[in-house]
Amino acid sequence: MITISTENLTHIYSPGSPFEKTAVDGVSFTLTGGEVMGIIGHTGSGKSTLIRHLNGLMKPTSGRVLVDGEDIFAKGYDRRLLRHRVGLVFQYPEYQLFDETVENDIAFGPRNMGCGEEEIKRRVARAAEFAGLTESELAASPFELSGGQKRRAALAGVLAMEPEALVLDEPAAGLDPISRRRIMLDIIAYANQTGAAILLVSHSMEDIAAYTTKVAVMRDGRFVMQGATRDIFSRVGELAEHGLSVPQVTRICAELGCGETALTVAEGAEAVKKLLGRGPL
Amino acid sequence: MDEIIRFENVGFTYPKRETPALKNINMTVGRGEFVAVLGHNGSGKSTLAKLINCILVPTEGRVFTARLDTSDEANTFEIRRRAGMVFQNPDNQLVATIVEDDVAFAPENLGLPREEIRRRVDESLIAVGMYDHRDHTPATLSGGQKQRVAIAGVLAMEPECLIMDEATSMLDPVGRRDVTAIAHRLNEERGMTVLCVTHHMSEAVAADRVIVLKDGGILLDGTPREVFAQREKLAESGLTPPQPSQLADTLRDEGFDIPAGILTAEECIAAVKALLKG
Amino acid sequence: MRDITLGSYYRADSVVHKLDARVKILLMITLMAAIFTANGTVSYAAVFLFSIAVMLMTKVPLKLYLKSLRPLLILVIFTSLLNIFYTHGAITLFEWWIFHPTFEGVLFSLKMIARIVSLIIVSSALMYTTTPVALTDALEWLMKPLKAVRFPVHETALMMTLALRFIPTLLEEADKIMCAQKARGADFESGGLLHRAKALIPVIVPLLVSAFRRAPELATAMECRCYRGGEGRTKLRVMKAGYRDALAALIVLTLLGAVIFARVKGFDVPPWSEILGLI
Repeated sequence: MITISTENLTHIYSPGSPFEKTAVDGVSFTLTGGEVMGIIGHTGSGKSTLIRHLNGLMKPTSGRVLVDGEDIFAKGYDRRLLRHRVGLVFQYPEYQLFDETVENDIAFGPRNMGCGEEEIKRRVARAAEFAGLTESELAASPFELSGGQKRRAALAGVLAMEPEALVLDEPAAGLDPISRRRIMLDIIAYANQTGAAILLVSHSMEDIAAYTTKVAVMRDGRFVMQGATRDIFSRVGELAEHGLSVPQVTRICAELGCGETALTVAEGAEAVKKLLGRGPL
Repeated sequence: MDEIIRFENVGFTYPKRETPALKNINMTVGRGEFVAVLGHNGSGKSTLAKLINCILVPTEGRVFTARLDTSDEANTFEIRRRAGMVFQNPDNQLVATIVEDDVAFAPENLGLPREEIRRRVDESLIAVGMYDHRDHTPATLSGGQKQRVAIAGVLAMEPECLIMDEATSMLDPVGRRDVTAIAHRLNEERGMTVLCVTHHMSEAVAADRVIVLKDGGILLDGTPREVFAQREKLAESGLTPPQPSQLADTLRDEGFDIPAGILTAEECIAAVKALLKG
Repeated sequence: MRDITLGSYYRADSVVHKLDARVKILLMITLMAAIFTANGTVSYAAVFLFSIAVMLMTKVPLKLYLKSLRPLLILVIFTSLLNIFYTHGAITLFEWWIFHPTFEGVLFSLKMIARIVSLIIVSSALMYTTTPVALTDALEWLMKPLKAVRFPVHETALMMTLALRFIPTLLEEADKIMCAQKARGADFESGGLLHRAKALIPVIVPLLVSAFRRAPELATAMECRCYRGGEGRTKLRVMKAGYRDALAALIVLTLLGAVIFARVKGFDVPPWSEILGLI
């Protein structure tokens, strides 16, 4: 099982110039296979910069990124191999689709990995299944698909590398509610079946509350809060200080004084029922 | 109430497509209304918006904007001036390298005198809170700020109606909040008609009226309270009501005495507190 | 990140910054004409000193000018060496092996250096003190006469503006796509030229697709803001040339006049051999 961790990771853009900016400032965390971790925070808080370090696309100004205890920026470390293990899904990933068919596009990753034709076929089929892509969608040009389909095709392109860790930057941004829910469930299904570690960057508190096990709050490049999702979302006032809200159902239960922090509507209903002094009918 | 938009038996089929994107739409939007249009992808909501200011012309029936027939080409210019539109991608609608030049684009096209352009640019930028950024370049702005500049660019035409075609869908929560707040302020302070196509339930909750489209037809049309009370029909169109409504509905289903039509967290809290007291 | 739409514009409060962009463009051309016309030592010294004066007046850090001179440094050194050693003259400075540099050679290469440096200073001064927006507006105005021959002046200017507007957007997008493909195991660094060019396909195709997707959206957005072409358009920015511009024009034209006069009349210091002979 993969373990990704950072130690005092710091990234400074254009150091020494008048445009110098510390984007990531002393961030430390550990993420292990089977965990779903969320990162929340405003735009510009450094989330996108941080995740580009995790597969070696960006080099830290100081601090370390460790994968299974090994420093990925140590001399002789094969960062291309690392990218096969740590999959990165960028914001609006459908803009990276390029091949003539969805199938070929999904095969791009495995082909770069040097897989044989048989293996490529197997991987594409498996990724397509995870992303819920049909035969006809696989044969279509990626540019003919709808927004939601394109997004899932792009996700499949990363899943086909069968990464042990999957880092996603706003995977559901701009989608309608059906596609949104669908892509989130696809990601969780992949994690559950393969035991992969998931790092989810999102502005949607509902998604973070519903799907993650632990959360870090990022502000001005730092992790200002870090812990189990339920614990973090119970600190409503502290989150508000960082300009972040909690899902409405969490807020309702907190203001009503329910003991447990509710993360989903179902949990909220249970908590309110308990409060009203009645078990389920 | 004076009407600003009227659809009469409107149908629209895109060229080379068989199934119509919209069919038999009849509706009237009154001056000063704040309307949210919901529906999942492919429901025809964007097509509906584009028919209002002549980007598309109905293949069946007629659309009247400010009582002008959109099918008559002679009206196009006047309709576009009166019904301004803000689009989804903030990057694909700004034309100039400097914020105030961009806002000046429409008044320049209208051939207004320089002093008038200046006045409109300044007023529009102040209205969206971007006056301090007037000499910045769009590339240095956030998505929400770009979208506010796009709104200013539309306001500079002094339109009667603002159409937002998923204008908040690419924004982060802060950007979305700022843009919706501006739309509401324009609606309240200037009586501007706002029609916003969205898939954010929170935006629909704050509207005067919600129209839900499904497969090119109007499925629901009413106040947010009326619309979000129709759970089965909403589910049919792939929409989920806001969390407070869901929570209240779940509790009511299980036999608790919670009123129907709850929309906000405050209403939900009040309802449960009433139960606790009683 | 440096704002790329500003080009090489350097914000400062100088007389040169305040000049009308149209006047600046015309004066740059005039100055270049003067630099090329100069042939005598006095004329060369005059245009060179004038360029230096312009440079100092812009209040732009000298470092920046040195930066724009750097790419031409090798060329300047090489040509001046050639000139020093291969120009025949009456006064030989010293003799060593096959080299016998002459005084005339040194003088000639100094003139060449003065010419190149002046040209670079003058053109840099324009770029450092004028925003691309002002340049575009000025070019649109200066190209107006071309309308007579049906040259699409407004459209050309609009295209320049849109290019400036979208360069940063597309650069950012290219960077993002490149990162995304790298994350999928793409390799842009190793392999031969052909391999590398092929590796760029997954970056170029999405970038083109995106540009083609943006174009119609932008066109629609422009139409929605009542765009109908250049006909009947007015402008927010009105360019105004004032007394300052007139004064600048007078000075530069005087310089050009003097240089032309010197060239036609052959006015210059007497031949150097005579001066040196007297000593």
